[in-house]
Amino acid sequence: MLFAQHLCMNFSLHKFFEELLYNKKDPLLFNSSFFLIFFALFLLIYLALYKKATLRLYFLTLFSLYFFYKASGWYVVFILIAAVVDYNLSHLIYNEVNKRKKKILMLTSVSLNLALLFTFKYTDFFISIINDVSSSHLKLLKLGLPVGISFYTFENLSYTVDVYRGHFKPVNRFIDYLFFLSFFPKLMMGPIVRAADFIPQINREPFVDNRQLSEGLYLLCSGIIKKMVISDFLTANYVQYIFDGPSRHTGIECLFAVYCYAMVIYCDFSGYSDMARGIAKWIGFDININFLSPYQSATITEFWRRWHISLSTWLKDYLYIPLGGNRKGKFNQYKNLFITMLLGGFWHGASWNFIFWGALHGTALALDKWRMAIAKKMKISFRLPHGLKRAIGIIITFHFVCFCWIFFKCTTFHDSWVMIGQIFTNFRPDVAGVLFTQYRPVLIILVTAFLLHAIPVKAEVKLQQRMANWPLTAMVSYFLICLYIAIELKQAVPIKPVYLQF
Amino acid sequence: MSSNKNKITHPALIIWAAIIVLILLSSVKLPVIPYINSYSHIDLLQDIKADKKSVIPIKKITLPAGVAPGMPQMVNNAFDSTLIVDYADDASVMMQSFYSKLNALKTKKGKVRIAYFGDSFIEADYITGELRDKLQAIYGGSGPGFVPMQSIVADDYVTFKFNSNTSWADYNFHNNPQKYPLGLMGHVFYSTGRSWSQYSATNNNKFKNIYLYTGKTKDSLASVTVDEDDKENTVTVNDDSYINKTVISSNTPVGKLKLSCTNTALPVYGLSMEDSTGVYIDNYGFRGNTGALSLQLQPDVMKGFASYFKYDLIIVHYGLNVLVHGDTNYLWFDRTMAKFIEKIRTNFPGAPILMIGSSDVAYNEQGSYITDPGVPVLVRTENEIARKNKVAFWNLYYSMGGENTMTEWVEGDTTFAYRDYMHVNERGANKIAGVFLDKLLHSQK
Repeated sequence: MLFAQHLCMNFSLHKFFEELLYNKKDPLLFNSSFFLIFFALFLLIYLALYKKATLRLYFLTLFSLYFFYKASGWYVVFILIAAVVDYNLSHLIYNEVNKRKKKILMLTSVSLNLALLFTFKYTDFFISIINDVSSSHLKLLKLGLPVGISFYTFENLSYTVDVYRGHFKPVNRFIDYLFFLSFFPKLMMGPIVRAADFIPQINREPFVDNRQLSEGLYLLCSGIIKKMVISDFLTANYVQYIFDGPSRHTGIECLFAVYCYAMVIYCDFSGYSDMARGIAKWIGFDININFLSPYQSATITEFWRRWHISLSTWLKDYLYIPLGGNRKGKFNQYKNLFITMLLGGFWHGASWNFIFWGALHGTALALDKWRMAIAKKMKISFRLPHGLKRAIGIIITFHFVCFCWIFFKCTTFHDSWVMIGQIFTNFRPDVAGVLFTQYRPVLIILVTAFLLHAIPVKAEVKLQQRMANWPLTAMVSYFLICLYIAIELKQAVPIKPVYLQF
Repeated sequence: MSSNKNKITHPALIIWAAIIVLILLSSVKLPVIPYINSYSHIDLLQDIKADKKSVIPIKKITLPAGVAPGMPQMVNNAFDSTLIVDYADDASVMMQSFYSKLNALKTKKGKVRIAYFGDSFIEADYITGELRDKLQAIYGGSGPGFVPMQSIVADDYVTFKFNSNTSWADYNFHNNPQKYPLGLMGHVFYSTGRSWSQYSATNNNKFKNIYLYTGKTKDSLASVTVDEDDKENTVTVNDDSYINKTVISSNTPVGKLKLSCTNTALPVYGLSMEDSTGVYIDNYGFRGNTGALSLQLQPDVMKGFASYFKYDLIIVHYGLNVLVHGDTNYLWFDRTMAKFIEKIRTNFPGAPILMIGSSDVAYNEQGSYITDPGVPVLVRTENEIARKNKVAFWNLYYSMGGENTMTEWVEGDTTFAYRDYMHVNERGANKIAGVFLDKLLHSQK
């Protein structure tokens, strides 16, 4: 009774309806309490409809489009336009017998998609380059980036290219295509889903077995912890202001911030992917894995097999291989790797920092391939125990990746070098005590995150298998504990930032 | 095992059960997670509740345009004023004496010198740099005044280019086991045998006169090597007083100065670049300082510097480090400031003192940044300290825009502050310097 009274007194219908509209300052993300309630209501309707194939499809598509509207407003129109164009082009490509015309149609689709992406993502970057080079003063367009455009553009591209390559027959119903493109869990931050994997699931009656249920729960909870507990906490309480003014902080503070950021970017990105996969599993869909404990990698080649897998395999299939892959000699292979990573870097954002980040990874990948080739040819092998060799590899790879993150995170090239300068010339180990006393919660969360990250993938799979046998009450408790920790941390009083004394 | 059964209803059961439990929990007290400072209640429905509570009522303050200058000392309470308010009752140390000296520069040659004591807010010549440039443009003068030998924020200096090989042993308020007498900035530097510092003038604003300030050393023939625009010579350092001033260069414009020191026993405080006339502001910012650290300054050092610098105004500006979220007992700060003001009065007699209140500081209240409730309380306390100790006061918090200004400065299209919602960036520092100068000029009419 008291509870009902409490709820009624505080609840505002106006506020509730206001929440249903897009709010530029508060776009919808999985990690909001509104989404939890929203998703709970969605599930009720979904349960009532899931057996009716067409209704289910329309409902899921409409919900996905609404979700997209809540996340990015009227930019939702672009996904509709993209779907109409690519659906029709894919059919034209499929039905065209003339090879040349087929190719032209495919290139039209590629150009249109890239044009859309370029307009929103890169116009201002090129305008500022023109301004810098020619001392002209062209006005920046400041269009704003439609959420998820980088992801669904790549899905569109792979779809039409695969139809062109004859890998599959295009879908017969527009709604199927629109659903594939807009499926809400993966719409905003991936994984980049391939049509061949997803389309066969569309008209299949959703089935959630024990395994699917426990994997969904595990992924959802791991996503919540990664995103809300680790990433958001480290960002708000440390990372954001060290990266904002690296010149005003000692080298040890900067290095600690780089380690924190390595965890932040991983948890942010993979946490979102985990939530997407978990939500999909719970409604009976499978989305491909996107991250596989990447900081456990002992080489940079291995890192890219474990980091943002859906992007790296996409780049391999639609950029690296068309460029020639490893078919035209070693030198060309290294060159192709470099170009792929350079463009991959540019995909992440329109700035020189991202291009440089891509170039660093491209160079490292090429060097790693070269190293492997030489070692194989010369039969060089260091006589070190396997475990030790791997540990050294992990430490070197992790630190190289961290070095690259500096360019990824810093707003300007100058700031990146300032940060590196502080780490190498102004380290100040003497302030370590003050640093870790002041930021103890940050340190605790970072260390815990790395320990969790060190859990072998096999152990995670085992845990998920065990969870499949849990009773429902245990599942509810597990979910509750994760939510409780996440909400507590979201509400926690932030640590007061200080400039370390010296 | 019943794994072949469709469990599609279970996710809904799990989620609804969790939501109901969380809503029930929102009305009870929960254990607080250690180290995290979490609240003891949770609020799942925060987004759809009738009102999102704000800790303090929002009251937007806009800077009044063209404030009537009036007689500043007639305003009783400076908290609600953007003007500089003088609580001094002795004419010789009133702000008016400073204004008169400043105005006199327009008609006759002379020097006006200001000391600005503060914390990380003014590091790297922030605020003081812009203020000095503007004042020098009106009243004459050239050069940054006092500069240290090395700084963690050397890269951030824009008033001149500053770098060193960072090999000076830096003894300071936090690290001074030998109890060396510290300079006004809170540092004393000793060479480790190969230490050097380099200063380059920007905007063709060459250094006219350069002086070196050192302490007492047993080595009466201590010297430094000076490289002025690639011309090297050796200068023997004076050693007859507790604080010594040595002329490095006089009336010869220098674009780039490199000073090297091999003598490891020579206490070096810093240099001063200045012309023989005009306005100078010496930046004495020490990060982490609540003001309490400045009490470590030795009277002999202060007197020693006072004999060379002859300050016409002393500014005291603390607050960022005094503020502790959730604790508004500033009694200790009141006592500290009273002691520091007294110390300044004794060792820099005749100089008016101006206390600048804390700037706005925001903190994260459940996802959005708002002014820390302690800020207005702290600023009121600072105003009271100024009133009780009869020094002038300027309310920076109010003058920069009042409540939630810091959030606007961080989150606006043009940023004026860093993402710690506490420190201003160069743009923000220049903005504050502009507002402060405006108030200084208004108050002297």
